[in-house]
Amino acid sequence: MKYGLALTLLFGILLLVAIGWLQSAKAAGVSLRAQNTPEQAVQNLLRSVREKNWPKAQAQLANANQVDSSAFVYDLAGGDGSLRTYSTLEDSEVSVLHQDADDALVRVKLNWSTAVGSLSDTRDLKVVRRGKENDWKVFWPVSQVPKLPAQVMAVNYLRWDVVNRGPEGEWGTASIDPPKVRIISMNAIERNDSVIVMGEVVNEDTIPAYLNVNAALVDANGVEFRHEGSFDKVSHILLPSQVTPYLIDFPKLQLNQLKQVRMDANVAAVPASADPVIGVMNQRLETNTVGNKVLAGELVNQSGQTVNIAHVLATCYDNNGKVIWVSDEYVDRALLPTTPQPFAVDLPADVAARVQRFRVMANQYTRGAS
Amino acid sequence: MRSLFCTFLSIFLLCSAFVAMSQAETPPALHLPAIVSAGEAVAVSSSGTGSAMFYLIGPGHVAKRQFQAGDTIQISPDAVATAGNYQVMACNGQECATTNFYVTPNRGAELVFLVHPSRVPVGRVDAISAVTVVMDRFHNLALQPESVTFRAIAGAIPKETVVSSPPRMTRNGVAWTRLNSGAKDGAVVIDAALGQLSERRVVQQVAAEPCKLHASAEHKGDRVVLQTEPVRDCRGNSVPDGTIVTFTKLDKLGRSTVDAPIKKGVARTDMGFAGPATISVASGVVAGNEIYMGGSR
Repeated sequence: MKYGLALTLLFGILLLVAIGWLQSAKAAGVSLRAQNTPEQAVQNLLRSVREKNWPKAQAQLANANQVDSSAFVYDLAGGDGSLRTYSTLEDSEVSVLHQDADDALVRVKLNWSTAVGSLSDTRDLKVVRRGKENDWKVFWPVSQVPKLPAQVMAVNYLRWDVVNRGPEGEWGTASIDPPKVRIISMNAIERNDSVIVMGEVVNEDTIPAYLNVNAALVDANGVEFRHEGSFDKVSHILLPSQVTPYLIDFPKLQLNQLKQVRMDANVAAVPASADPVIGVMNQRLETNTVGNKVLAGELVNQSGQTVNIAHVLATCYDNNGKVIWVSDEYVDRALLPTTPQPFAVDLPADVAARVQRFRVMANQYTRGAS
Repeated sequence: MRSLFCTFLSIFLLCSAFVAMSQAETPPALHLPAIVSAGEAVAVSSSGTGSAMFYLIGPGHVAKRQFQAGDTIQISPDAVATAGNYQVMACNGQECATTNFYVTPNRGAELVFLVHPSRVPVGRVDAISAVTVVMDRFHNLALQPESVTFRAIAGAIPKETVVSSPPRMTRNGVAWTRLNSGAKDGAVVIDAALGQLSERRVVQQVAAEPCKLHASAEHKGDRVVLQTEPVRDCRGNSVPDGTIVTFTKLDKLGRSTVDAPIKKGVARTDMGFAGPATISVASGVVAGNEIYMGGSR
């Protein structure tokens, strides 16, 4: 009896410590329960990915000892200054496609929050029942960090610099004319409660152009009532003779509300480089794993410089050669020299059915280059 | 007796008034030419008596000074450097005399030369606009007609070619002409001359669109190397480096495109080879030849 109070206090302390530990583990995302289902195993793995706790995430894999840790991190966190390195896993959608007693196939849609907006990455993961606890664990596809053989690539970098005369310049002295660009096509359509203006622009000059395409909608009274720009649905740097598509979206508008579209291409001479050259290989229309129509292919960086972020712009034409859609997609992997990097640009199903011809171009953003 | 006194008083008052009037300062009047040239000194003669205030009010200058009516007032060249309407005033107490005069621009002493565009494709008619504005040495627009000659100088000494326009008279200080671009690419100097004065601007003449764009393909292992012949316009000028040439390969794997810039006169790229393929080449809106590559890898 004389130890009753002491024992009660000790019991109370132990109880509080246990509650605290459980709470802290929960907050840290530590699974204290067995991974009873394939879905649960994937969710636990993604929780570790979201926390960027790579050792913990790798430890949850069924083939942890076969997966190279640097390749695993490169796969999920990116590298070489790619868009993925500026991304965070925001949320994920997990669905079981197939399940047997000891293995399952789970589809995961990873929604990444990136510097240029939200990007999705859909993967089918194999989940297996392994270990003493007979838990479900993700079987991660074995990959390698891309490695390039040591080599010297001779590249003649071609570059334009612009020397302006400054604010103190005398009136009447010669200045640099802005590059001459021409809007070669324009098509206005109505789609999903929006008016969409799209077409193509060509640089007819001999120097690079910095381009912004703007559209103003004019109503029946001749009044301009809406203005929009093409934002990133255009290649802003346009080299001589290069053609870029553009797309301008006017949400919550119908085509019958406007009488005319006034186009305006704002152009300036800017310093630019003709390199690196990016080839767009094996372009094809196909259906992806979730049943959407995509324009897929591979980007090949033909220079010796790593391209950090690539931006793909696809122009779709109908059988009359008219531009009927412009799609774009950021590639969240860096383009290493001469290493193909897959891309897939989503196309609306109705557009995909009418596409007769397409043209794909790639913009690039390279760290330290202008 | 009373009427005699009144008569004398009247005469006295009348004489006093006359003396007072004769002793008062008369208001000054100013005399100067109606038109003077900018930057030329002006002498303003005045009449009247007594001390007065002189005012000069112009578009670029305002001055005030005291003077003795009847003297000649000198206006310095700096005070009438700006062309336009001027007003001079001479004030004596409550009274002011005002005279207007006009300062005309002096002879042309400076050329402002505007040439557009700074880059022009070869072989274009009336493609270059040259406008010159004639100013005097005080930056006034020289309105009197002056003879300006325009010249285009292409090529390097001693093989330069010079094309001169007939003299053109300025109208309201402006003379202009339109020039055709030459047949060869390179810099062309556009010169405007007014007497001994001249101003120069440089226009870059560049090749026009590619003509007869032709590419060849060479099979190297599992790659195919594509290269254009030197890309020239229809006058034989090299299309500038950096101009994009698009190579397109169509095979069983799909369509592959590379936008390759011209470097040292040719555009070059390589692509993987996966069996029979049709290869085409284009630059801007100009299409080139088509190549069919068959056979196995």
